[in-house]
Amino acid sequence: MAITSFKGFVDAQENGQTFIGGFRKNITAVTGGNSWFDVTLSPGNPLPFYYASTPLIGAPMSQSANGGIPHNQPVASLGYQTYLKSIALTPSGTAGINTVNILCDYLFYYPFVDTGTTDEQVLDNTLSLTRYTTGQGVSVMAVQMAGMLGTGSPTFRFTYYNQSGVLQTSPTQTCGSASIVGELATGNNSSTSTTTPSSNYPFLALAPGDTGIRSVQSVTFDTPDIGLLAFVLVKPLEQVCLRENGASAERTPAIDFFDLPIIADNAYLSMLVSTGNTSASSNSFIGTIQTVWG
Amino acid sequence: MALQSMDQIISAITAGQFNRTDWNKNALPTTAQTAGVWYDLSTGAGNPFQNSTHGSTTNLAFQSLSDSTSTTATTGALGGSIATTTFTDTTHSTGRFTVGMLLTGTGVTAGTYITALGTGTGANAGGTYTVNISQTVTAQTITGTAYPNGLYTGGSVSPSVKNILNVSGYSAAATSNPAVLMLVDQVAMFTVSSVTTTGAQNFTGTQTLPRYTTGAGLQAYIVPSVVMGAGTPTIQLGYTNAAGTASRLTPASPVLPTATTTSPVGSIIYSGTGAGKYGPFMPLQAGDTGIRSIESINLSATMTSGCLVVVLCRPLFTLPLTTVGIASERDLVNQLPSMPRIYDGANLQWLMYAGAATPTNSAYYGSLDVAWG
Repeated sequence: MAITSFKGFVDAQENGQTFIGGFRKNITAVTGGNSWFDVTLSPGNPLPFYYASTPLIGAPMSQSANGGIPHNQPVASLGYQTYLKSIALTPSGTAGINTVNILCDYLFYYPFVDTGTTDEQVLDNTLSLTRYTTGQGVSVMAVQMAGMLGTGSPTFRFTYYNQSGVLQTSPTQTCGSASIVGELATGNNSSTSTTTPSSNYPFLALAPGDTGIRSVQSVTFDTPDIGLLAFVLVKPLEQVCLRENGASAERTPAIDFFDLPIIADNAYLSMLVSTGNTSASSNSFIGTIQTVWG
Repeated sequence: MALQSMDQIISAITAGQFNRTDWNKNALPTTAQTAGVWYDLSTGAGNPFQNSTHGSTTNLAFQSLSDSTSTTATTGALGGSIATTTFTDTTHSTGRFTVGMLLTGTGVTAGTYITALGTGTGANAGGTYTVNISQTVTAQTITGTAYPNGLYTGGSVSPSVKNILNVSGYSAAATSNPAVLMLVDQVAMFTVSSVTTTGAQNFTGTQTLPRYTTGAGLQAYIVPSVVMGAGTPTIQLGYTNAAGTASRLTPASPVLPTATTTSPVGSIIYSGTGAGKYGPFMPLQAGDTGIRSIESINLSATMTSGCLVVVLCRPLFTLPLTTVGIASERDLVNQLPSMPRIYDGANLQWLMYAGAATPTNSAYYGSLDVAWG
């Protein structure tokens, strides 16, 4: 069985095959403007997840083991798939900001990569992806577990297996200026220098032709800094954009942005926030998601 | 087959016939973008990696472009070396080295690529280039490989038909808005390194288009792959239109497109404001609706130095960005029905109209969803 029409979509909900989950995340630190932030480490509901486990050893993430935004119980064994029906997001008060928020399925992480050494740091891949197992469409980001100084915009490279199982070396990635826990190391760089190009993207650039990543094998910094990173593999699902301070935003993907994100069984859901052109501090993001399955 | 109803789109998504791409492209790195000028963001840094094919091929030769295209440049035997982050092409052999080219050769560290031009302009013996990884490589044959690195949309799906469902774009960098993004499918290019030659220069090679084979809807634009020298020549293309009529010329009335002096890499050299400025595409003769082939380029005066690239592309849609930090989104099924088709092998790249002076390396982001059935 699967939902193959609008009628099937409506029937699933009529049959009670629907779930509404809520969340509230507080960004307690002051981010830079024009930066990307991972609310996974932020307090609130669901509880924060700090990527704190044995250094450099890769670990899978799941709803059952780690939490995340609740969405549904596993349904594949019933012959169903779970779909994102709607997502709503409200910033707290009028201090809310114009943000772009990307809902992701967090798949796997490598904790405590040290930015203070230029030695190659080899990551342990005894465990592997449990969802999107080939890595097709999977992205990787570098989340700060301990803030970097960012002096001189440090650069690094990493080796990885791509979606076809081929070992690759990434392009050089550029970190931003001084930043905080939860910010993406390469996601707060507003440099407009001609010699230190910005790398203000949430996801790390892969080698030409690659369309996903299966695992990270090693990380090498070209210049040392202080700080610790978690390399996190995610599957982006949907975005919802706040366009006015203090105003809610809602998205029903099938109706107003024609797509229909499929949420894998046991997915760990969380969000990335782009802070727009202002900083985000002491902001709460209150939201709901509704899923249907069929 | 094709998606012919909303239910079919839902069915296709359920069946996995769907792809989401999150992209990031930076404004060009050498000089601030000028208000009123169009730029090709494909050679900007970001994710996917920058397009390095522009300017990588033999002067005046036709090169088709697809997602699987690669072009190469090589040094002569034992004619290449790297000292710290400087690659020296001591004795050049074939092709043209470009920024973003991946370098390979005995002893070259995996993942090494050119980040900037030094004294090298692509094919000059003795030219130097900056690379991303510090290393020592003694005299070797070093090969550079260029890729277009267009947005990934799920690969080839024929006999199914692929369409764009929605798109988003935004930027939070200061003065990066207003702007207009235009998604194009780049189908072919011609390197023009003979920029001091005046008068008509004929293009070479058999021009077989990989997509849009009649040329319907195809347009041409011209960007430098190496910063241009002084000169403001008028530019005229000789082409065959989409109906197959040859000997068509860029109209000289009211005035031919005029290049901007010392145009930076990635800027569309005749775009801007004032007489002789057009953009993003070269104007066509009255009644023409596309370009099947381009036979010649005519510069009225020298541009002193640099390298141009004539790109043949199919525009797919535009996405206005109105306000810094505010996302623009377009639902191409409901909000503005069109569902542009993406052909197998498409090489999707962004053009950008700068509505304000935009600092170098300003970052633009977004997503693109497609489905096929």
